[in-house]
Amino acid sequence: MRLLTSAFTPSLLWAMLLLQGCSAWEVNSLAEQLPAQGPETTLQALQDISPAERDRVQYLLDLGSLKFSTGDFSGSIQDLQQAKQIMRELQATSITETAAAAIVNETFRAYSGTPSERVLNHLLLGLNYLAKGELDAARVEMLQSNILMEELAEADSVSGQLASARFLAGIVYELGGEWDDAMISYRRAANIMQARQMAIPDALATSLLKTSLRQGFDEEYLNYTRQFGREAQAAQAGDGEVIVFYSDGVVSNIEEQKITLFNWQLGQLISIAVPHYPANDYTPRHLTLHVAGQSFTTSPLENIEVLARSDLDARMPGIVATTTARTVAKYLAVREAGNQNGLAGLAANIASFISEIADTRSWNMLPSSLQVARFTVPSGSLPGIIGFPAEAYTSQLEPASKGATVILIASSLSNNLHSYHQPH
Amino acid sequence: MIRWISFSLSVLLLSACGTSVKRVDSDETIDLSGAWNDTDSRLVAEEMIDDAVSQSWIIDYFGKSGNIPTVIVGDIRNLSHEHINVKTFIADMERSLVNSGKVDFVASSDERGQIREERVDQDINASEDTRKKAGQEAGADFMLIGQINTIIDADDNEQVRYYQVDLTMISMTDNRKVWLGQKKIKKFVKNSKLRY
Repeated sequence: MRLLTSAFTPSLLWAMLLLQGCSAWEVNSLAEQLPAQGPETTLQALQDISPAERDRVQYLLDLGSLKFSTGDFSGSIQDLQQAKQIMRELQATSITETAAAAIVNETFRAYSGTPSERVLNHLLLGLNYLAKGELDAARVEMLQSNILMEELAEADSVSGQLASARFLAGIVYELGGEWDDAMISYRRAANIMQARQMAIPDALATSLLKTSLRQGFDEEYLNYTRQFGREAQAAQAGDGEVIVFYSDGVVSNIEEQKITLFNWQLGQLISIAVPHYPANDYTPRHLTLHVAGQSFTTSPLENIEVLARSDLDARMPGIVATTTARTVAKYLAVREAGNQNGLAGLAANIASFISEIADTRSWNMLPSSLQVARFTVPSGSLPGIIGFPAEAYTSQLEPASKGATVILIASSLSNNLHSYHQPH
Repeated sequence: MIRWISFSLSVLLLSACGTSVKRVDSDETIDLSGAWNDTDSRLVAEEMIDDAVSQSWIIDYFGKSGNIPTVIVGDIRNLSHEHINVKTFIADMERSLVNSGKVDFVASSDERGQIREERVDQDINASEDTRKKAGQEAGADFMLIGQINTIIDADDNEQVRYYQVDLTMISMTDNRKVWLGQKKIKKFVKNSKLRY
């Protein structure tokens, strides 16, 4: 504490305030406008921002997700790969950033992503590669996400464990004919959803039924038929299969909660700022597909609103501890400066007030939820889609060819529909 | 003293680091992240092709046909945990195969498409004495296919990366596997827990 107090001098604080950029604030503002402005306009505005080096990960993640929404898969891959590499390097604790966070505020730490964001990065990269028709590259991302989730795994916690990443891994393995690995991934996806007390979506139920039946896991298949109240659908020769990944909404922004009070007894303005999420009032909106006289609706596989809040909750004890230590250090330093010179004390007090900023950075251009659907379609049928926005996507779709698997990627933010065709 | 330290820290924080570039020999081994790199690609390709061309299948083929075998490189699948540029690995193998002088080597299907287009163009635009005829291509006798696999064991900031490259030479006539090659690489990667 004595060291912190000594380090907190007006010259150091003002120097650090000079370094305080506003790129994170600009990015957060754009994220708030994303549902109204759409991904194309937001992308243009985001590209005009020059982020501070420590905000680069947030910037690249947002850039990558917007490019994904607009169909620039190569650009999205480039940004997300770069973000992945930086996030990996930033896992080591920085001595200077920790000192700056203890003296000034938390935004002086380079943003390194939350556990969920690190896994979601692999998921988005996997979808990008699938959209480009590069199955092996998508498989690489899924393998990397598996390793990361193993590293992040903790007993009695699902922090950093994502059902969506496990499900996509299952699909990728299945497309590559690796049925054992697909089965393991689907099982893990179901376990995570149960641990999070989420309903298992039809698409995952279908995958578990189909794969356990195909692999001859009779007892497990029987258990699934009881659990889901149905059997695996027997596909007719030549039937195609459609798997839909639908992103709904935009995840909430982290907000700042700042408490400021003037203590007359101490003669100081004391300020504390911590990050928090607003109340979660998200209600998923679904995408409905009409195929050959039947309707199919997407169901939530990942509630990113909940994930984001859990990640922040996990970080809060550390943030509160640093904030408390910093507040005491600032108070003592201002008092010491005031004792030496009244004007210096005032300058230090103003600097300590201005510099108290909560870290509100997050991957805030992610969807609120990721939803999925999986169904069999007769050969040559053309799915018609009604969802958000309500415009029909039909004209962009190719008919499911004989026995093929078609992966559709849709978003509530855009009319763009992307697909990956795996021939039989 | 403390004030001097804090002032120095301020100056240090405000100063930026520049980019430095140093040219190095392309054969020099530089391991930065522990991932598959150019050295792995080159060494694996050279060692495996050296092994392939020193085995008996070449002599057997020569004994039966009186010619050295013609080889084509087919699919090398990346089934590893990393985005490995398979094209550079294939190029390294092709170079080692051609340089060995023990096999003939034909262009891949993508390259053949380009050459055939050029031949069609020559048919229309090139003079008769320089024009190349269609139907004169050398067909491959053997195809080299393979895959790169990895096993990763990670704990905290340590990682063991095990790479296994499997290559198979298959006879185009009867699908016989005439050579199976395997090369393993094991790396121990330890990341620092602290940074500046």
